[in-house]
Amino acid sequence: MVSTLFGFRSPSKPAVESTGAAAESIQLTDLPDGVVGRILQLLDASALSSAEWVCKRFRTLVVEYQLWRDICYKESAECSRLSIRITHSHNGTPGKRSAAFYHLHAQLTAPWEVHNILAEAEAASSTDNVEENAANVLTTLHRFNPMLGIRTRAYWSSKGSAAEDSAEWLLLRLVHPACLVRSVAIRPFRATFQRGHPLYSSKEVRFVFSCGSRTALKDRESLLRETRVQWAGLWQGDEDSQWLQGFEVASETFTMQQKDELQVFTFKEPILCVGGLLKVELQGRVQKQEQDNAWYTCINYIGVSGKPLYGFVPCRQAQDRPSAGLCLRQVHRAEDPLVASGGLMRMAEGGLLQERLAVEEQGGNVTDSDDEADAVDAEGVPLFMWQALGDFGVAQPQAPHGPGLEVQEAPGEPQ
Amino acid sequence: MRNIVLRANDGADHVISVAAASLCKTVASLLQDLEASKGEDTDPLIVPLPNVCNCTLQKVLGFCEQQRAFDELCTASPAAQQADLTRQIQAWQMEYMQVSTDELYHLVMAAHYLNVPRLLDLCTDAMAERIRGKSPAQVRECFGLKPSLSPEEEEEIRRSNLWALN
Repeated sequence: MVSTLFGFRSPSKPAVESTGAAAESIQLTDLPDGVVGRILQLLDASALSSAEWVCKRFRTLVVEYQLWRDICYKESAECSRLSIRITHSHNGTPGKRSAAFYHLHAQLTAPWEVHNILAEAEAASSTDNVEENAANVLTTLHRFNPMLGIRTRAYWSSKGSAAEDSAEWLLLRLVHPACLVRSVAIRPFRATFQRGHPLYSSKEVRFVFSCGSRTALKDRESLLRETRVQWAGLWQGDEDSQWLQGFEVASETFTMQQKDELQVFTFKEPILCVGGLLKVELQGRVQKQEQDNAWYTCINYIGVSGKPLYGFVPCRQAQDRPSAGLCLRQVHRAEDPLVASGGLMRMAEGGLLQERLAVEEQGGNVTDSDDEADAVDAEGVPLFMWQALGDFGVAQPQAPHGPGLEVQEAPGEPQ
Repeated sequence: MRNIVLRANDGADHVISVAAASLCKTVASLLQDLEASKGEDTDPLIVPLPNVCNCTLQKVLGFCEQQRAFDELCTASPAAQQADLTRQIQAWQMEYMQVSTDELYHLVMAAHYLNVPRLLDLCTDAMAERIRGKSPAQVRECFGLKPSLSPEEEEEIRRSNLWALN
């Protein structure tokens, strides 16, 4: 039986009438789009970027199949929860969209310049005294403690608690709304002014990177405006736990070592933090204070190592995928919040704290800084910053500022 | 067991088993349709393939038969030998893909037409391998393409990507 089956076709392309002679000369251009798309999909970033230039068809397929987006997804699983909207182009054409993912991929895979990308402490679950506020964890400064009448390392202290397994948290803001975070370093505080030099560490620590939902972001910003001038720790209540929910990314739980030294907790995969907020959860306590028989947690220093994704900011109107949390929006480098605010060097390592300390100092307050803080390098960056960065293994760069980073005179330069 | 005859565009017939033919999704679905309409039939089924030339068909069928044999080996052998078997399969596939670019085109077309997913994967991988690590000009040379991007379009790609990096 010979079945007459000339009607039978391949799924996507109609069968081409061809003779034996014509079949001899197939070209790449004869292959169906689906097949060429699949071939391009198998390429890595460097091969894809050169394939894009080969011919018009390749370029069209790269844009059409959103191959740069796929490459970003491969790079970071977090990326797949985000979508990018483009504000800078005329209409957000597919080509521009492709370019945005191309840029995002470049940012994601850019070499790690190890910087401390912590900008400010926003809040703490509790604060014992106003001098022991959360902003102290940003710096290795020594500050005058009016209760003791001496200078000690600046630290944050929780309120005393009757329960040993109770938890505390610190809410910290990173320099940029979109950051890739590789590790967090924490140094617990040893109270050398107390008998036996007790170390007020915690048992475990966990990091929550908050992406924040759309409406929550708005609430947060208005809240922050109100509390910006106040010391951290005053801002408590249900509001904060409300907007930290939803799209947060939590790291694994790390065990703290009970030592007075900088402990670096490195994540298996760098975590993309959108919204720029980091919550450090300190679970369990190890030290009771003798005087009042209550459990305390005190932290001396926190540093966050990672890189900002320049040119991307979160956007509130998540139109593409409303359920996917925050969108990233591409902006021109000059509009980048970090670039606009004076660059990494000014914002990181508690740059704002230095500013605040300077104000306090001029006001004749009882805050004092260590002598080391007087020393300033050629760029006007206080040397103690470099010492703190040195804990991360960062050497002071000879030419520290890349293009696009504008560094202003360090504001808190004491005379 | 019923046999299937695939007829290439030059009239050459190739007889394969149903088991091997089931790897070609197009033939498999055809077979299913026929059986549904006519029931069991012992006559050989002749499928003319006007798009596939003789040597390519031979190559594709070689793949199908070999994969079929490997599949049977996989199910029959204990778990301990699986790794060894996988290595064997990979070695065989590597050797199988030692073809010229022109042959590769025909193979991709045939795999796409006959809808053999595994062969298509193998071929696209081989094609991608030919693009990797080459400059645009080298890729063009390798595949015999003419630069079809106009200077304006090139400029546009450059501008949009540069804008992205600024």
